[in-house]
Formats: sequence, C-alpha cells, structure tokens
Amino acid sequence: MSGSVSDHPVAASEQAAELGWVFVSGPDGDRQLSQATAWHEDGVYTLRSAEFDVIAEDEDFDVAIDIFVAWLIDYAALLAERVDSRKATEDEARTFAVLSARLFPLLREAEQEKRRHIRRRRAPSTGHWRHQETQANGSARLSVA
Amino acid sequence: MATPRDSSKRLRTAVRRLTGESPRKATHGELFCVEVASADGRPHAVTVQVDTHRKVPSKAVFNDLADRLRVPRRQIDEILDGWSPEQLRKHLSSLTHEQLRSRTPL
Repeated sequence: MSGSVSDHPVAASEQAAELGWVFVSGPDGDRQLSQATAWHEDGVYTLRSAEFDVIAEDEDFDVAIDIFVAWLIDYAALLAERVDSRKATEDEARTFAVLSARLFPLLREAEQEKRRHIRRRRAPSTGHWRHQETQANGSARLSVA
Repeated sequence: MATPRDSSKRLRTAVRRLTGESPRKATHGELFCVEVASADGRPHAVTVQVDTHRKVPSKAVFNDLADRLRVPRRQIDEILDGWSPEQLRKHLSSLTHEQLRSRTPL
C-alpha cells in the first residue's frame, strides 16, 4: 500500500487545517482508512487522524500518506496485541473494532494483489488523499478551523 | 544544551524516560502505552507515538504529544525534561475518563 496523491493540502497551519479522508486504492476500489486533518507548515506536510491516535509528517505529501498508513497499521497491531492479551481498555477494544474493520479487507486485498502482482508483474495498489467534499466545507476548507 | 526538539532520537529517549515504558517497535518509530485508572475509576491507556523517520521532529509532533498526555502545549518541553513516570501517571490519574479521551489542546 504505497502512496500517491491526487490533491495536496495548502493550509499553512494546524489552526487552518483541511479536513479530509485518507483512502487506499485497491483492486476492489477505494477504501477509506481514516478521517484526518492536513496542513503544510514550515515545509512539512502533517496528517493527523481525527479518529485515531495517529500522526504522520514528511516534506513529501505522498510519503506522509504512506507513513500515515503504516502508523495506522502499527497502531492496529498494538491494539490487537492488547485485545489478545486481555489488557485492552473498552476504548481500545472499540477502536480496534473500527480500525480492523477498515484495515483487514485492505490487507486481504493487498495480499491478493501481491499474489496477482507476482504472477502478472503489475504495480501495487496505492494510497491517496481526498478533501472532504461537501457543499458546506468545500468552499471554506481553507478557512480557520 | 541539546533538547528533544533537536532530534527525533532525543525525543524518543525523552519519551522513554517520561513514560518508563518499554516501547513497541513500529515501522517508522516506536509506540509507548501508559496505563492508568482515571479519576472516575475507569481504566485508560494513553498511546504515545514517536516517529523517528525524520531527523528533526516538527512543532506538530510536540503539540500532538502534549494533547495525548493532556498537558498544556506550552509546557511539553519542561514535562519531557523534568517529569518522572510517577508524576505523569499521577497527572493522568487526576483526570476523568472523558478528559483523558479528549484531544482538544490545553
């Protein structure tokens, strides 16, 4: 699940951050991973999940998205361990349920795609970012949050 | 004097010391989990993420860390430098479950 970008955030600070979704494209279409805020400050793109305790940053927005996805997977793995060992709190168990419902189909698709890729030598699936497109926030997405 | 703002590795060292927890290795850094009981008696776990793929962490990383630890953003440097794991747990345990869940900046 390496990343590519269709749209870069232009908000210059966290206070003006743009709201959107991080998607991952797979053979069965786009799947949403997490709602997130994004901004570009001091030459660094930052993506902060609005749903999970995950943040990612890089000078390259494509890379920031890839890192965001990797952190989500690592966070889900941490939660899985805590659920398995019965250490998870109610919040963690609930978060794991939400996160795993989004990640597991992607991981399954990625694995299937990897197998197909090996057979067909095709490019892997890619992640990308989209602004949240509603009439209400579409025109005002750069305004102060 | 060098501080955690100078490098991601220094930040990682500071978070290790502050949380007193063994990290879980991640693809681009480490995750730390601090478990406490909230002031209203509910178990809560604070997950702290330290990304080391960039050499110098941004302001956003420190703000995110402060938000997760439920401390004022302007105090995160002195907390990373001076608080003990026991002080951190005492602070977190003084908050209600809803306060611990919040990510609104202080």
